[in-house]
This record gives sequence, structure tokens and C-alpha cells, in this order.
Amino acid sequence: MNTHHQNHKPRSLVLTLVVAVALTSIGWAELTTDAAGELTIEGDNAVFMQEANRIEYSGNVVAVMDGMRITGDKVAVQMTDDRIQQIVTTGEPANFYQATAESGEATTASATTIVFLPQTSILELTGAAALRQAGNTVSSAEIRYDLALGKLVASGGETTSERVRMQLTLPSQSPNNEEAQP
Amino acid sequence: MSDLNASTKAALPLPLHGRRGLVFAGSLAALIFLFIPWFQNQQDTPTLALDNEREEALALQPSSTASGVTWQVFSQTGQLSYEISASKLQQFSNEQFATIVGPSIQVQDKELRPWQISAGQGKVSQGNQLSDQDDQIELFERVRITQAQRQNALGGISIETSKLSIYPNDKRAYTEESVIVKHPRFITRSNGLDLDLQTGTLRFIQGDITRVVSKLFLHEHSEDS
Repeated sequence: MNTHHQNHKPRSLVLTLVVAVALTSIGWAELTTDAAGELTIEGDNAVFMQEANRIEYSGNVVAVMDGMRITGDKVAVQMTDDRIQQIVTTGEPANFYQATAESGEATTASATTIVFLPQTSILELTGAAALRQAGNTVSSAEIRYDLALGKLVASGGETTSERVRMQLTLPSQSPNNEEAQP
Repeated sequence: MSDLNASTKAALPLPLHGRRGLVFAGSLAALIFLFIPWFQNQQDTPTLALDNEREEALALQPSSTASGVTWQVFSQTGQLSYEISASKLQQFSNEQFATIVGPSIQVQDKELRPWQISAGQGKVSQGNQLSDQDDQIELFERVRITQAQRQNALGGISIETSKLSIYPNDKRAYTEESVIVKHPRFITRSNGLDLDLQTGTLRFIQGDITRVVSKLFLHEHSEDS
């Protein structure tokens, strides 16, 4: 009997994993079909506070738009009468992912707070912020990243003594170039 | 001893048909005794059944009907609590409820801005003030909630669902059915919501499987698109 039960456990685990992967794939497929200028947000719960013109999502929140994905524990969307002002994601940490069409490499980032400003396409990362792009990593208290231009500005932050750290991956030189050297 | 034997002997010579007669008579008496309540029920039941059926039939019959009605309900402080208009109303006094066709309901928020709530059909149940039980309006078919004043100011929402319960004195609307919430800047789909009609705060109910999914419009968006 025990053996019988033990045989079932791995099977059920594999089945669970397969189902989980399948569900994730379905969810992701649905989330990636957004039209330009539309951001899809999905969470376990949400509360819309009409007086504050603000909607808050919580529980495994995923925000997706144009090859960009932000995940976190909570997402707060602040709106004004005529536009979406900012989208604030918090988590331990919150994560950012952006596929880069030209190089095929992705830009990833993590921080305790990620603020997306849709009008300027700026991403503000604060609290143990780290951004990885083309093999290079930048760690800092605050990082501002321009999604449209793919450029970043890192600063030490006003309230912390944390300094900006950069880890660069130097491109390896080809043998032909070495031969050309005097 | 001899007398006893004599009496015993005297009893034995009773004829057999006499003893059978006694047993039969006793059995008959017992049967009649047992069946008395049944006979009584046989006499009473048809009348009772008819009465019950008549009461049920009467309960199913509306005590009053009306067409094109509007009525207002005021709170204890004299403020308008809510207003209901319907193309048809049937009141069932015994059951303390009324059914309404094509209802249109107005409930004011704390700034006295009205919510407009419409549906295909509805049922209005009277609450009990002594037990603090609120009135309840249950709406079915194409339920839609809007707040025109807020929508004109670009901050309003409209909600569509198939079933909604409104507690007008508590200023609360609740459903567990699938809902679509439209706002100038987003469209949200989920299952179940709890709306505070005073403040406009809307909570999507957490389900075991269902997630809240919103599509946000970062640029200008037409609701028709």
C-alpha cells in the first residue's frame, strides 16, 4: 500500500507542474495580445476608490504591455480626469522585464518599488534597485530608466549612503583584431 | 383448595364458540379504538388540505397590481432613501414582497448624486426595522449601474451584470455573478463585487479561481472601440 501511495506522489506532482505550466502559458498568451497603448493588469483582488480615482490590485499582480511585464505583490494605478498618471508596483521585490527587439536580449530589473509613468515612458526603481541590460548590471538606491530610449540614470539616493555600482561585461576581442594590433 | 379446583373445573366447560366470541369482540373493540383517530383525520384532512391549498393559491396571487408606477422611500430622518420606477408591479402582501418589471432605481450617494440602476426584472422585499433588517431589492437580467454626474466628469463608472442585490438603506450593492466595470480609463472583468453606494468604493470579491483582469487605456479611448 505504501509503495502504491509513493508511486502516486511523483505522478501527481508532475501533473500539477504540467497543469501549472499549461495554465501559465494560457494566461500569458491572453496577456500578450494587447493593443498598443493598452496595459493589462491582473490580480487576485482589486479595489477601485472612486473618490480618489485610484484602483489597487493585490495578490500576484501581473502588468503587461508591448513586450513589457511588471510583477509584484501590489499595483496601484493613479488616474486623473483625463489620463493615467502613474502605476506603482511594490513587492519583495517587484520585477520588470522588457524584451528588446533589436538585440533579442531582455532588459530586467528589480526593486521594492517600481513606478511607471506612462506619459513619459519612464520607469523609476527605488529600494535595492538593480537593472540588467546586455550583460551589464547596475545596482543603486534609485534608477530611472527610459523605456523608449533604453537609457538609464542611476543615483545614490538622498536618504541612503548607497553608491552606484556597475558591473560591466566587456566584449571579448576577436583573433583578427589582435593580429591587426601593432 | 377444593373450591379453587371446583371453580377451575366450572370454567373449563365453557363452550368453544363462546370463547371465540369473546376474542372476536375484544379484537373488534381494539381495532375500533385504534382506528378512531384515523377516522377523525379522514373527516378533518380534506378540509385542512383545501384550506392550505387556498392559502397557497392566495399567496401566489398578487394582492395588488399596478402599471407605470414610481414610489419613493424615505429614511427615518426624512431624507429620500431611494426611488423605484417600474413598468409593472405585483404586490404580494402575505409574503411581504413585490415583483417589478423593467425597474429603474435611484439611490443617492453621500453627495446626493444619484446612482441609476436598471434591470429587466426585480423583487423588492420589505425589511424589518425592529431587527435592523434592511429592505432588499434583487435585480435580474441586464442589470446596469451608472452615475451620470460622475461620468460627465470623466470619473464615473458603469457596471454590467446579470444579478444584483441592493440594500438601499445600507447604501450597498452586491453580486457574486460575473461583472464588467467600465471607466473612461479602464475596463475590468471579474466575478463578484461589493459596491459602497455612499462613497463609490468598489471591491472585487476574491474567488478561488477567478482573477480580476483590467485593461487600462494609457491614451484617449472611445468606449465603442
